[in-house]
Amino acid sequence: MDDLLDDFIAETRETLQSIEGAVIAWERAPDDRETLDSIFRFVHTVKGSCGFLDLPRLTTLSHAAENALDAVRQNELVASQALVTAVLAIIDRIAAVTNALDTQDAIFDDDHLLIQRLGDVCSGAAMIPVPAPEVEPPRERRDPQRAALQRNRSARLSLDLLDNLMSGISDMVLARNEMARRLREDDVSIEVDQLFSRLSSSIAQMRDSIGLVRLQPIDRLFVSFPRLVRDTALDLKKDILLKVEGGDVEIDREMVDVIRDPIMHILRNSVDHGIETPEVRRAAGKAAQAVIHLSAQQAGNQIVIEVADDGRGLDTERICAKAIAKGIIGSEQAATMSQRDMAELIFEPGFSTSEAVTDLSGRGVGMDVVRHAIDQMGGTIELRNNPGHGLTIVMRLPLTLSIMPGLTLRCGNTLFAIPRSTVTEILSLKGGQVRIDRAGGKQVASIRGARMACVSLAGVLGVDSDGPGTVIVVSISGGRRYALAVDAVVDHEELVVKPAPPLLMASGLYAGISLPDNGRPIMLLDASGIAEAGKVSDQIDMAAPKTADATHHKAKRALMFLSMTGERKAVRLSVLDRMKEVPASTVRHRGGALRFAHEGRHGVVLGCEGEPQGENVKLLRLMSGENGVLMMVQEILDIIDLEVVRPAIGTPMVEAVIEHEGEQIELIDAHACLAEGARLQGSDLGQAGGALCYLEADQQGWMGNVLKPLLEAAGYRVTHDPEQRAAAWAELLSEDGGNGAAIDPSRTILLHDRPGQSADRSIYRYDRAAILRALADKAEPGGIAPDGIRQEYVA
Amino acid sequence: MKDLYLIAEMAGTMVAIPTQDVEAVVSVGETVPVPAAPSHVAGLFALRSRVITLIDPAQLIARKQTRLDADSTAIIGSIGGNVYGFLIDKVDDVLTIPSDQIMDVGGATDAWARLATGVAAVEGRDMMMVVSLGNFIHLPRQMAA
Repeated sequence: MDDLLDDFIAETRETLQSIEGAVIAWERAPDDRETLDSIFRFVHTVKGSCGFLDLPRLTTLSHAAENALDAVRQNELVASQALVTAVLAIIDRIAAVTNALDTQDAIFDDDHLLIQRLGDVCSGAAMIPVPAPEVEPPRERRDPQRAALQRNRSARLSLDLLDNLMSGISDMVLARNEMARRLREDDVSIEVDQLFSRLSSSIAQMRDSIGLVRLQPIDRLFVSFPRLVRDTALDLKKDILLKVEGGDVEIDREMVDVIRDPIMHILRNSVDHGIETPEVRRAAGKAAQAVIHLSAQQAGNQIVIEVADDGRGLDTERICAKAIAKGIIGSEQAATMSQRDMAELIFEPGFSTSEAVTDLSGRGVGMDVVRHAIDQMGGTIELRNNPGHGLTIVMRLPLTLSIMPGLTLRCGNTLFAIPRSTVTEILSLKGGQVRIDRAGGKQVASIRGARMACVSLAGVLGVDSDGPGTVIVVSISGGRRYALAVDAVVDHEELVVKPAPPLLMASGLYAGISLPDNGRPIMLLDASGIAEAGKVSDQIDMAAPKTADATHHKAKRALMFLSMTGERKAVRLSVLDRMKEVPASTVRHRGGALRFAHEGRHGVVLGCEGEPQGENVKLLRLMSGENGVLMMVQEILDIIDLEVVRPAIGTPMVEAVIEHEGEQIELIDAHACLAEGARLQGSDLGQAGGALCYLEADQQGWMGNVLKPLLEAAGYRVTHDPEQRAAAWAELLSEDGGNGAAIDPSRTILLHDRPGQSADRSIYRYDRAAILRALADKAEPGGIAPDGIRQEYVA
Repeated sequence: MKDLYLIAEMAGTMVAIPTQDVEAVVSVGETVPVPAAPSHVAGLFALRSRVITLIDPAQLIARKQTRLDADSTAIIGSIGGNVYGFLIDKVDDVLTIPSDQIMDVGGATDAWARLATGVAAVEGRDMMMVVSLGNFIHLPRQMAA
């Protein structure tokens, strides 16, 4: 507030100086419209500012002068000499009071006499003599010289001038760098060198000082909020006090504009939804007057802004119910969510806690927009929910928007920058701490036991790459993170970031443009945008903790082996018949397939492209019922527990992706292998006269394209024909489908499409084990379910 | 100033650009490509301390890419608060063209019909497209939308 007052004093003095001429001119020529206007503007401005700063004396004075001048402007009054004198007396008094604000002297308050005289002049009454302003002895006399020293010396600069200064400095820095390069190339004398380094360091100093000019107290922003809260609360008949702390924390002036809306939105939300009515508060044993604390604090190179209210907090149950109703999450998912995750649902797009759209907080803008804005500037937002007692929202923001520490990355010949704040780790692919696998059709990075989605920067941007050499771990909002594969990390530098034209921002991949000291422009990447383009959100389940359905597989074990292509893979022990080592010559490509024949035994061999070389080969025999197939492997590694199993999609021969010691391993699809073996041997397992299943025909064709082959491979017969539906002994419907037909729990299986959930009512549609188990369960006693399947999945 | 035009050759066509749109004519330095940007963005280059987005009008007019070399020249103009450079083949002249010598873009080919604001007929010269630089920025976006 003090700074605001200083500004007001400086501004008023300045204007007084500049209108001094006008005041004198007006005295001589009271009819001159232009001078009248400039004086009117002055008193009007003073009135506006001091109403805001709560300076009642100045408000009253300027108000009186303004009224009189306005009447003259409207030609309702003639600017007589008496009127001019009366107005000037008021302006003098304004000057005296303003000065006194600064020196903390006191001016005798006889303002009403001045105002009365002006009123009298206006109404044509006689003049009353007015005393000259007297300076009262100050309550606390300061040494005038010291006061002058202590006075905040300040100057007001136009923003354009400031911008010119900034870009001038940037120019100088670029020129200096170019110069330095030239000087290195040429042999120059020591004197020139020393002179240049002096020049160089003073340019650096100047750049730092100019950087400070950009900072301003956050109070500039905060000062408008008490009013906002008061007005909003009044409309809602609530009693709320906004307490502001830390207004002297300095932030970049560009930042002020960017964080205004998010804070305003949070405050409105708090007043509208968070704070209860006084009656409800009293009933809950709270003070009728609610308090919202708005505070700012500088922590390192971050600004922490907190909005804490003592309202009812977030009702996670209600939030969950709403999120389910809006289709943001499924009910099964909700059951496994933590309180914190539930609260954070308010950040989901399309979520609004208010039932009715109010004009206060429901402007079609939700908390998702707030989070997006905070994300954009490289900040984070966190909820601290205390149900019944209040909600605290903590925002951590970078100190400045325009200068941020960044990493420069290289992809092919192009350099990019990424905000340092989003990067948690940089790992070289050569070091062996990180491995990128293609598992289940996705790129996955394994870093010391943690797995996360991997995005290739070259792939997302469509640029050439020399091959990824480095992986950086990028954290984005919502606790999500991913691995970004780049050719190399080049440098770490402070970047002056400017907004990029809409033309370039349209792709959603960039956050801005920067011009580093080398003079080559560089695009700043938007970490969230890259995640989106790399479809990281689709893979978010990979980073999730163990899902509930994993327990079904806990007792399962698998044999881990090294495939002929050198990858670690696994096969379920339950289908493994035996392992043997045989001469390589016994495996030959005959009759369209790789076949093994030795000592009266024979079989189809999978897992190898051409005929094997060398002396001996290792074969695994997979067995299920009457059918068998051989799998060639390079090395038998270990027997492992199947703990975390995630179904694979669209990859033949791969049933799932499992986790072992932090590594992603593909689990061989035994049934696909057996079916393939059977096909090659001429006896198709799929025609074994299995039970008939009815599949609902869905629009995406998922049932027909994905589920049908799976069921057929498992030995069932499948139909889409509604007329055969009654004849089928089981039917599979999508959860929201079914066309309202009656559901017979003894033969209907419902499927849903939300990963990570299991429920009584429906099954996740990629949880193949659960689907097959459910099918087997529907089988009549005596087991129509194809042999072998049952033992394996129902164990 | 009002009827003053910069005459330049752009994508093989003579164009007249209102001089108040033109901030400078510069030679394009080293450019940096912007992946995933529209095809008519030829890259970025630094002009003193500013980063200029270089537009290749030939991409919009003829779907042809202009080859950048040491002689590449661009007109600098700011549109909507951002500074752009527009590649031209060469600068020809500065002319006063009274408004009665500017006609509608009736006979122009497709791309020019959208991008040009008129056709100028000046005695002793070929017809020239009157161009508003802002169209190169706004129209492609509208067309994409």
